[in-house]
Amino acid sequence: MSHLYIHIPFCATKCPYCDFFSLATQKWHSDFSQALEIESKLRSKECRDSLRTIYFGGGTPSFPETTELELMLSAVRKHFSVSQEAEITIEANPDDINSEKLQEWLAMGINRLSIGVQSFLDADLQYLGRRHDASKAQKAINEAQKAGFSNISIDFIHGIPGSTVESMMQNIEMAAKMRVQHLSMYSLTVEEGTILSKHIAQGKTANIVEDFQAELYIKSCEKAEEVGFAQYEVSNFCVPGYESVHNSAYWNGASYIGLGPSAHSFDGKSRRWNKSDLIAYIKGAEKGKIPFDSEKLSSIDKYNEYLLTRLRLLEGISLRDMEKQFGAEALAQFRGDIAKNKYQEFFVMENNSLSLSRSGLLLADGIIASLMKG
Amino acid sequence: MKNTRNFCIIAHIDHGKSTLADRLLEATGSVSERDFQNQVLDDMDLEREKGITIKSHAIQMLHEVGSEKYKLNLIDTPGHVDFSYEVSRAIAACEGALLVVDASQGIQAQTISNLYQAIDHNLEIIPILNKMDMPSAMPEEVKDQIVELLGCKREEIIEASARTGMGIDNILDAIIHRVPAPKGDPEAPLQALIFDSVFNSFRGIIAYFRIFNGTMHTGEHVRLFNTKKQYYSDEIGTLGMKLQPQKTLSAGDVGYMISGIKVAREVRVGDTITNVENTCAAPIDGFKEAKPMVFAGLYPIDADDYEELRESIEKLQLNDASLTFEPESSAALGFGFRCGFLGLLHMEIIQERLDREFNMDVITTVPNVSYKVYTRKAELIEVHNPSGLPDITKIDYIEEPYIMANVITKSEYLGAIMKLCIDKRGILKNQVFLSTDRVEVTFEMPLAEIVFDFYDKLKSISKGYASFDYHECGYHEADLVRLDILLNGEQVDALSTLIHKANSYAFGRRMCERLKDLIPRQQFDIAIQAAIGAKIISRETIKAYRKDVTAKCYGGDISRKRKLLEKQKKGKKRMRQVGNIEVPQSAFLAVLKLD
Ligand SMILES: Nc1nc2c(ncn2[C@@H]2O[C@H](COP(=O)(O)OP(=O)(O)OP(=O)(O)O)[C@@H](O)[C@H]2O)c(=O)[nH]1
Ligand code: SF4
Ligand SMILES: [Mg+2]
Repeated sequence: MSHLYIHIPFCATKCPYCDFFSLATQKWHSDFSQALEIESKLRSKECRDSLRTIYFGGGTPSFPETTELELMLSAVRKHFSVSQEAEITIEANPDDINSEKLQEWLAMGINRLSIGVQSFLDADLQYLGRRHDASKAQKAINEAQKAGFSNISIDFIHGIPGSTVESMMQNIEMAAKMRVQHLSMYSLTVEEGTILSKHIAQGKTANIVEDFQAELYIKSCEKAEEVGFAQYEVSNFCVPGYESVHNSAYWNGASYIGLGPSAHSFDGKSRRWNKSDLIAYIKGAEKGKIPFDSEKLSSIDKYNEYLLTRLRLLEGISLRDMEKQFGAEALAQFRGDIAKNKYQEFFVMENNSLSLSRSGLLLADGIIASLMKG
Repeated sequence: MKNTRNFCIIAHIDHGKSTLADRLLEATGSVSERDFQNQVLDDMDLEREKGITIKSHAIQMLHEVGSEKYKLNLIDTPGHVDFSYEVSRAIAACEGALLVVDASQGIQAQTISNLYQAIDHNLEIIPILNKMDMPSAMPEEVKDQIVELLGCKREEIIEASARTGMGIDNILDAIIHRVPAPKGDPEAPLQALIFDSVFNSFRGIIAYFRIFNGTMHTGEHVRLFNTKKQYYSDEIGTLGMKLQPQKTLSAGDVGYMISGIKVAREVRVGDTITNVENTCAAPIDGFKEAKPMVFAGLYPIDADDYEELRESIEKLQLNDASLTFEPESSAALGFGFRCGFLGLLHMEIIQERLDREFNMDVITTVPNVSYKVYTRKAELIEVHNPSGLPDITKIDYIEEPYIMANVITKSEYLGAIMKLCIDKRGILKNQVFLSTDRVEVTFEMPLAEIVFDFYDKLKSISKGYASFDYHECGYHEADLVRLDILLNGEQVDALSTLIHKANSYAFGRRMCERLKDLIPRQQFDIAIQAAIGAKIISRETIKAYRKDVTAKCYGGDISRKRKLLEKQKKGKKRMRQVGNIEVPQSAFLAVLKLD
């Protein structure tokens, strides 16, 4: 089974904290979808089996006209085989959601919505520089449900300066009350080179407080569970059975194809990523050559990636699976590494699987780094 | 021989020696335009980056005046006080010295100290007023200073600019007419003074020498007078921009010898080369060996690299005989070396060279001077390391080295400088006004006090207008205590310092504060304590961090994430595990950057 990601590199406006590749422009929308059509064709050979998931990410896939999306999706259907029960997700901004669009998406076969709610608190939304407000977000969810979407995910950003534990708890309760199926909760991070980081450096905006975020993280996880969302990854929660199939593919080492500028692909041996340059992408497609970089994974790389993806999952590393993938010797070494690791208290060993406790997940980067090889 | 001139360029730091050398090399056509770059003699990467000369550089220029052909052997010297012994080596090989004085700065501390060395060796001094092109040049005032200092005639001072080339011809003229030709007898038994040596990985040790008497040939047996070892001179020659092999060199010449010597210790700078068959009766008066002033432990970041570190230090020593080392071990850091340096700049340079030239990442511990400890049994122990201090009950008294520090400053900063020196336990010995607004003060003070941040402080309180020079002047009894640092209750020997009792409380407090900034938060709380004996005098806590995870990990960008974590892991590797605490390199030098 394979997976396909389509990167839509457009947004109505650029959010100050965002470092994804996207341009706030109305131009090039149709040039882009044509280029993507070409890329689908060029890369159809890379995938022989049928697609289990398709994911429109971005950027803001809900921003361009639906006709553009249709063009892209039909190109994909033309050049790839798409499984009957494929999960097809679109990331959408609350702003862009209306009953008309929802119907069009359903008609295209989109069956999962990931809505960028970020918070049900207007003060948070203002800090984040989002265009929508809390009531718009609620309305968008209601309309989507009315239209017939039964697999809806919403994103929250927590640890926004000015927010409190209480306001975050209210957010999570609201998510449960609105009966969404999936929840992604990210701590606000200040990425280098963003407007937010500049404003913080200039003292124009309040900075994040990591200890507060740590506290919030633990409380949010507990709250989510309390209201019926099971955690399955560092930042992801769902009503049982509604895990994101697409994102789980990344964490389980499945292969995937990424179309569009900055999109990443993986075929089990190498990783490739298209260049983050829209014009070069469009021009490249015209010449039948999409600009990209790639990297062949060494066995150490593979091992390190295995650690870094699996340990983010609540399921953790199944020792049997590790042995299957890397051999008995690697497993024995891993056991040794674990035994002398200084993060002992954060490991949970259960059913022959090793995973991280909740406070361990909060330190996942350091822990994973300490177990990596090379 | 009558057409040979051997001279060095001496000055205070940054007064323009190397730039002046550039102009002389150009004017004599000694360096091709293609090879030319600024301060061309500063050929080490570090010298170029820091813009200072670290090692002396000798080069021969050929110059024609009318029908006469002259051989001019130039030695450019460093100005920084740490390297003043390099100057003494150069001086021993010459008959003349260009004393360069920056016309906008005037006479500074190293101008005086280097000048005195040159006068001691009876060199002909040619005073040069450099940087005349600068708007802030004060030629008349600085000439007054020079006349006062040298007792020379005002007309003997050459106005020049190493930037524009002004005065270069006059300087060449003066070298030819004022510097005496070398004396010596080419027929006498060979007597050549080794004034420098460098290591070349293909050719081994290259010894630089100056012949005082006799003649030397390629392919003959020579002997080093002091070590009594014999060698075969595979190649001798003169020092152009490249080495220029010659068949013979004789009295008055400056040159090099390659003889397959691989061990730097065998070629002692200051030793005399003589001929095996026709041995000279006595060596030339060499010069004192450079004596290390500051000691610090060097430890590999990764304990497995100990042997590699030894090899690297040995190789550095081939080029830098002033570096001393002996193995030592530390409970916190494992096996390493106690190294002796000429000063802090020297220490910094060694550390950087280890990193660049040998890819050796090292931890340098708090530097200290060497102490004389007299025990109750009347034994004398030299202590180079705080942990080498005998038990308090066994100590009768301790002596620490003192220096005479000469500071030259504009008089407006005198008050602040006096206060600094007194705070550093200095005793005022002398004060002379050099002119109405310039004054030279002499303080006797403990060397240990200038090792730390004296130089930086002096510069900042005088806005760069004070200069400073020192020489050792014996040992005095001192009231010292050992200040220990504990991390989570465990003493870290590599962070111990010997310190004057009166300063110990304030010092301990600042150490704790500083370490709190330098040690990153870890997954548990860290208590930092300063202690004297069993008594805790200060404490700080680093709270545990609780969050170290990237929230988002999708969009399939696993490569970037992996690389980030790999980098995180490497960063950790650069830290030293002390107990279960990761301590970064910088923390071990915390003490140098207090307040
Ligand atoms: N304006 C001006 N600048 C000069 C002149 N001579 C040297 N400089 C500058 O002064 C600085 C120091 O020059 P160097 O030649 O490196 O000085 P130095 O005496 O060799 O320094 P050390 O070897 O470190 O003691 C450099 O920035 C030069 O460009 C001059 O005649 N005029
Ligand atoms: S909408 Fe999403 S992709 Fe676009 S700028 Fe905002 S955060 Fe970034
Ligand atoms: Mg120089």
